[in-house]
Amino acid sequence: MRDRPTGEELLALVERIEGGDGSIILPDDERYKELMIAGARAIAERQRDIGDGPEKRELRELTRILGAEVSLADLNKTLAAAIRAGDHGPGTADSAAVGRHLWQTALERVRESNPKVLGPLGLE
Amino acid sequence: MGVNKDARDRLRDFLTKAAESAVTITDFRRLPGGAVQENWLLDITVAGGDWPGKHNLVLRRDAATPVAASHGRLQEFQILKLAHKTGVTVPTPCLMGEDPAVIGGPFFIMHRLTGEAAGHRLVKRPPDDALVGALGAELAKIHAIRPEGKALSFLDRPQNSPALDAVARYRHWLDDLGAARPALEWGLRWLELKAPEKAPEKADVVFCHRDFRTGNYMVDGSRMTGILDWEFAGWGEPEEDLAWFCARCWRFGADEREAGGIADRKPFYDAYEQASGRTIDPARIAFWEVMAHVRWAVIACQQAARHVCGGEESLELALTAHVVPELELEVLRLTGAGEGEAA
Repeated sequence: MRDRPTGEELLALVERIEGGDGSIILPDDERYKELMIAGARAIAERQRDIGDGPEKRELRELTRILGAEVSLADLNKTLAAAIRAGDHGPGTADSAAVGRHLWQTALERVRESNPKVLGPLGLE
Repeated sequence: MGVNKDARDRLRDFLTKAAESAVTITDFRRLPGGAVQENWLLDITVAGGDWPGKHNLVLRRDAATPVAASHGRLQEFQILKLAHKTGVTVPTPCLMGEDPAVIGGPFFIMHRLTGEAAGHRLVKRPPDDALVGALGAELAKIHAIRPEGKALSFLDRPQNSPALDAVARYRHWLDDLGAARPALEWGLRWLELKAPEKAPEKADVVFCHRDFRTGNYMVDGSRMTGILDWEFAGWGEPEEDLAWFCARCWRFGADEREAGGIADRKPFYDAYEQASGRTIDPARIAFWEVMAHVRWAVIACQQAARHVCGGEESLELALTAHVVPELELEVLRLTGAGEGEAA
């Protein structure tokens, strides 16, 4: 599930900044500010280009692992609580399946947030 | 959070009273960085008294909304004073201002160091074994800090395993955020299963900086001029600091230089071992590196929440939310989830 602020929310923030909204805290360093604005736009563009495929996969896989048909947010809450309780996750019978799902989810999110870190890890 | 002219005048009056002589503020502006605390450049001239002349200072105060586990400015000032007294290379602490009437909240003032702290710039320099060795020796000095009497009595000493305490703390922080983060829960569960159950021997509990990393020390030329940002310091295992320094997330993209993006681990470890008399256990470092990524991810979630629902709209805080996925990926990689990565 995408983190907030989402790409759309970042884009709206950038538009407010460029529209002169003085209530948003910005770095004093102009170059750093421009880099951050470019970064926010890039995340928004990648999320738009990638679409909702990753969230659909995440929903499908979580439904399969947990055997419940509820919202993606609720499935993630259930999985988080179950891992903490030791019912899923490291050391459990389905740790491989859960690990693979979490890995795939994290990978998809990094492809949106900061794909350049994937190259050195051999994950491009 | 800005400082208006009235606050600047009140600060001048505060300094005049402390110096027992007329003070002129010649420059006062916010320094870049410092998402958790604000650092302000403060240049003053004192007319007479015990400190006549020009002084280049830094004023440090809380950001608009606090982050869990960050000490208040009074506590941080006490820690900085003790570190300075013990001989750790730090900015000289000067004054504490507790009266919120001055600039809206507590603050302290210290001497300004020369040099560069920005991690993304430091890692672009050639590998520097001497610098990383100096940092290893400096960390050993920090770990040798032993407060006398009631100094730092506000810091809890671990009664249980510091690792298990940390797992409980980070779960608590996630709960406070209402955040469901299965990948971080995976990391926390892995840490819980691998952590020693018992409290370490007293000799194995040291004073930890807890944010000892590239970006939090100043370098002037080839010389390390001071360790900064003591707001998270407390008692813990030495490997926590060593691992934090080496964690991939603090190499600023210079991943092949595993000691802070500055050099290899060996000169860092060698200098630390020589200065501290301890032997580093790489397995314990690996354990604490998982903890480092979990910790930074939870703090990043807290910072994002400040933007999303904390009433502190900030482009930097907003973007910090998008650091979390790569931290989660690293937690999963280090713990062997998915892709056949080795645990």
